[in-house]
Amino acid sequence: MLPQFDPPGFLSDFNAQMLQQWSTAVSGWIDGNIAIVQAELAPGDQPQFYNESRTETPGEPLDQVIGWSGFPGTFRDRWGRQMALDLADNLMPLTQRMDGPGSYFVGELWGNIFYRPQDEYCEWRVTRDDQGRITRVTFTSEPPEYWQALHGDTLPDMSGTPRYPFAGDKQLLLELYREYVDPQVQLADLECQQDLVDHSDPANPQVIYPKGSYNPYNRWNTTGGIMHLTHPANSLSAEINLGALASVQRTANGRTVIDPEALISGAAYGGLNRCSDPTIGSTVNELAALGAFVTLRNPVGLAMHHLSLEGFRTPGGEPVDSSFFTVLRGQPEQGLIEHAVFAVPAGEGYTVSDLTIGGIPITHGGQIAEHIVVNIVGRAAGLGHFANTPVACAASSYQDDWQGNWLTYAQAGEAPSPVSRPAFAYPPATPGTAAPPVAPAPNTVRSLDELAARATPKPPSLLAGTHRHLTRNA
Amino acid sequence: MVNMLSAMDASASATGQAPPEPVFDVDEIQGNVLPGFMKPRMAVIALEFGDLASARRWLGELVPRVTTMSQTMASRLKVRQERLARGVSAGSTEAAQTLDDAWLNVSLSYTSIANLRGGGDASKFEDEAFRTGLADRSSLLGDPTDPSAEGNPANWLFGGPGKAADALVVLGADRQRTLQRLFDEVVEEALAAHLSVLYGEVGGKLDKLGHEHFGFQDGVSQPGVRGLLPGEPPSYLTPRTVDPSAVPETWLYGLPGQYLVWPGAFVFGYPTPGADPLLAAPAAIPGPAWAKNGSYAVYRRLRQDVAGFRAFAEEQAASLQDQGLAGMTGDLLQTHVVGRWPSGAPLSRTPDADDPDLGADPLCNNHFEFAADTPLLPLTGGHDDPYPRAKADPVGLTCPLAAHIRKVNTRDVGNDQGGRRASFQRRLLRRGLPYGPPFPKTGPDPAHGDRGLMFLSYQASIVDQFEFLNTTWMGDPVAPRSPSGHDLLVGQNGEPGAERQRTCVIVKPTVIGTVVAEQDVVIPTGGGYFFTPSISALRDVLAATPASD
Ligand code: HEM
Repeated sequence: MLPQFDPPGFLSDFNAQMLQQWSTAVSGWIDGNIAIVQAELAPGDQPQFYNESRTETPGEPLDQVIGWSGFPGTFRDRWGRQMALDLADNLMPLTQRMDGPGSYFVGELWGNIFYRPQDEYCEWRVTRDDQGRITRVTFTSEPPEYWQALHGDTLPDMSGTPRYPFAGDKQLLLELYREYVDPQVQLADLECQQDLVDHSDPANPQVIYPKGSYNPYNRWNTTGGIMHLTHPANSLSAEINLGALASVQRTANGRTVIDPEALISGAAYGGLNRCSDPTIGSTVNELAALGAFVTLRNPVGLAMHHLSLEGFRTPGGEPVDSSFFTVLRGQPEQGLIEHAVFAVPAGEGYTVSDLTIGGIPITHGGQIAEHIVVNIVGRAAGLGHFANTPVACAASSYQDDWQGNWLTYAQAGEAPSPVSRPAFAYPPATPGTAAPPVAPAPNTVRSLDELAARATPKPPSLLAGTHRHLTRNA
Repeated sequence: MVNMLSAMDASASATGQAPPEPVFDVDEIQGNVLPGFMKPRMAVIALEFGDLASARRWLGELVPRVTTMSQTMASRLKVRQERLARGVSAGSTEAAQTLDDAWLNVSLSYTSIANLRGGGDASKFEDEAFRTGLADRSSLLGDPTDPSAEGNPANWLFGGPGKAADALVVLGADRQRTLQRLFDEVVEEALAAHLSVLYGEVGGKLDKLGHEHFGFQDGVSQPGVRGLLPGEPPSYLTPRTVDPSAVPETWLYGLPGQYLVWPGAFVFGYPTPGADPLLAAPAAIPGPAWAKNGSYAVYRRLRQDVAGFRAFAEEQAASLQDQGLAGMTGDLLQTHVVGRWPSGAPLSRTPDADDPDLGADPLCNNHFEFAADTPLLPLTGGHDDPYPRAKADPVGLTCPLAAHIRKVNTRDVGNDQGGRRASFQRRLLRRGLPYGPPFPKTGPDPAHGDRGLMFLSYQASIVDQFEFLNTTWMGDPVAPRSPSGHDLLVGQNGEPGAERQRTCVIVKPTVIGTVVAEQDVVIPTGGGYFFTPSISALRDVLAATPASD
């Protein structure tokens, strides 16, 4: 059995006491999720998702690296690659979701609090010089919880109740920010100067981050720098929740759901259009389908596995080697990169903007992110141990008529937009009855005008809002 | 980009009907794009233009000889009828005996289109790989960056710096003599029009079944292209073989296991794949309007080092035995590296030994998935599938995740791009055949090692399909799925500092064995990125003098 959960990427800033506290929190989140799964299962069935520090499993475990592209599929699928590259490098206010209409938090102050709309558990920040040339791109996969812990805050359990206190080390927190972000950072800059209150439910406002606690959206982690993940979905507890929910076998209209997109649509365990969530979920689900105990391997956390530099060239046409990508935190040899900087080695006399990938100049940080593989490791043990009854899917999704790669969850069973059709909605499986014959139907070709009249208005409002937040040379 | 909404009315899902499919412009699409020449003989001629006026004239004169989709299809139907008459099963690989076709298709590079159009609208082609050209993209594909290496563009037979082809003529024929005659004619006419021949190659199937030089049946798994041939009533281009009682498989498959893909993935101007494989996305023409009915062609002359591949397999099989994988042999390792046995039988369906009957049976040799046990499907026409079914293999305990066929097609499992949509959106129409004589069983090698694959693929995006498979999947140690490693058959490791060494793991229930390949066994020796225009675009746009001239 695992004696203790380690911090993501085996990061080494915690003392023994905080290591213990971290382990308690991770273990608690896992247990909380096991309870959530238990509530979904048929009476008598036991959750396959397990806590490595509490459950002894039979036999040798099998590990599976689950990797995905660092560039947000959400943006690519919604807007196409070019606009996705333009959007992804910018900050967005928390009042603007990047994956559809609506906001993450409601209330005036959230309009001036920013996040990076990079939702693959890999965020980056582009630093430019006075002439707009890219001087470096800094990447992180560290979860906000780690930094809240360093500040000595109390982390919530799965129900949102503050539960896991940390001793913290504010001095170390400050030193790390000064080392990795800016020597000018002050402790007060990192803390909430007032309660950050969410008014999503006007009758019941929620304090998300109380005054004096660590502010994950502090300016040195948003407008003025990058230290850890900021996207509201990029949290460690969200990832554990996804792993847990994915351990449940599901059916739709009487058929076992195997297709990864249909599965996430039916189970609603994450972002439909991400590179990460559908593949994390389906990979865990396939292991669970073999009747195995499944979990996320220690250290539970996200990390970049590697950056592939094939096709990167210097202005002189030479290959760009690993001296351009400096890993500052994490364990690169184990595929656990937590913080890294892409920059031209000092003294070369040119910038990142002068490099090319496949002959195309680097103009966006996202072009580099496209060559990063992010990963977690799934673990399975005791194949054949479980034979749980599958659970019927409660959710479903729609496919956009214009952007065929764009999926959106149904809202209370209804289409999220008039220009969308139900996806993965096959007619009920009724044993013995044949489906209607396969008849070729006539091809209807509609004009562009006709489609445009029906289509979602584009470009979206979020375009207007973002460019003013372009951050340069912090 | 021009968008049209096609075939969008019905959700197969909601109505219980197959999704409606578009009708092809069969007199516009070149025949090697769809349905594919699929002839036993193939030749390629790479040409460089002299003066533009002569080039246009040459192209104009060539147009009437360009074989269309409808001509290719007519011959295909004749074969089907003949097989029926002779009682040979559908899909049999036996060539029709009375045919003596000789077919021609032509594709043009970005530079040549820009020149022919006098600048004009060539820049509307959205694919940045096409506009950049293969030589400048080569390092991205993992090709050697050392200028002294054989695979570096500097040493290519054509397609390297200063040797880029303007036009690529592809020929297909039933018989060698007819092919050679056509080849000679094309060369003669090109020379007469002041074009220079940069490269010409004649190749073909090495045997009846279609083994490539390493000894494995090639051309087994092709995407099933959705769409209808005109007629009363219209008929499916890709025959459907799964009984309508099996939902949704009857709507998802052509042959069992062969995913049906919306034609816009390969041809401009048709509905493209959406996230749900049954729901088409709008048709797209990511280029000038005249690019409708066209397709990108990628040609790579890939030399295969057969001796090197076998030596690697023997040596590494011994190493795997030392690592505890008892029973591993060179031949078995080769099969693990491909994911199929030499006959084409999938490892997933017959883990312990080759099964040539399975390998030759198109109704069964592609019917395997990885996420869960593959169900037995009722087939139309009274056919059955008597072979053992494929078992769930998400981790690659049977067919390794690094096997070539799993590095280029993840089928029903998720991958680094998200869910399953890559299985419909990252596909290629593979049209290549081997060149060079088979590797001799004994004695000296008459070809001195120069044999390989005339790799040719058609797709609607070079970046998202051909290059994606090379760079993001075959050449990556983790993607699309892990535990895997590099594709040890075809993949290259162009990572600076890695010395081109490729590794992968073979995972068995009790042992994880590591395989190391120190040398490339597939070496690029020429090629280019091209566009294969429609007949009317060739005649009325590209062979015509632009207004601005
Ligand atoms: C000399 C080089 C190559 C050799 C010897 C080779 C050999 C093979 C073989 C034996 C198969 C299995 C049989 C089949 O399904 O047809 C196969 C499948 C395939 N290969 Fe290759 N190949 C080569 C290069 C490439 C390249 C460069 C690509 C793509 C960029 C590629 C893409 C594919 C695809 C997509 C499949 C079908 C996989 C499936 O759908 O199951 N191959 N190849």
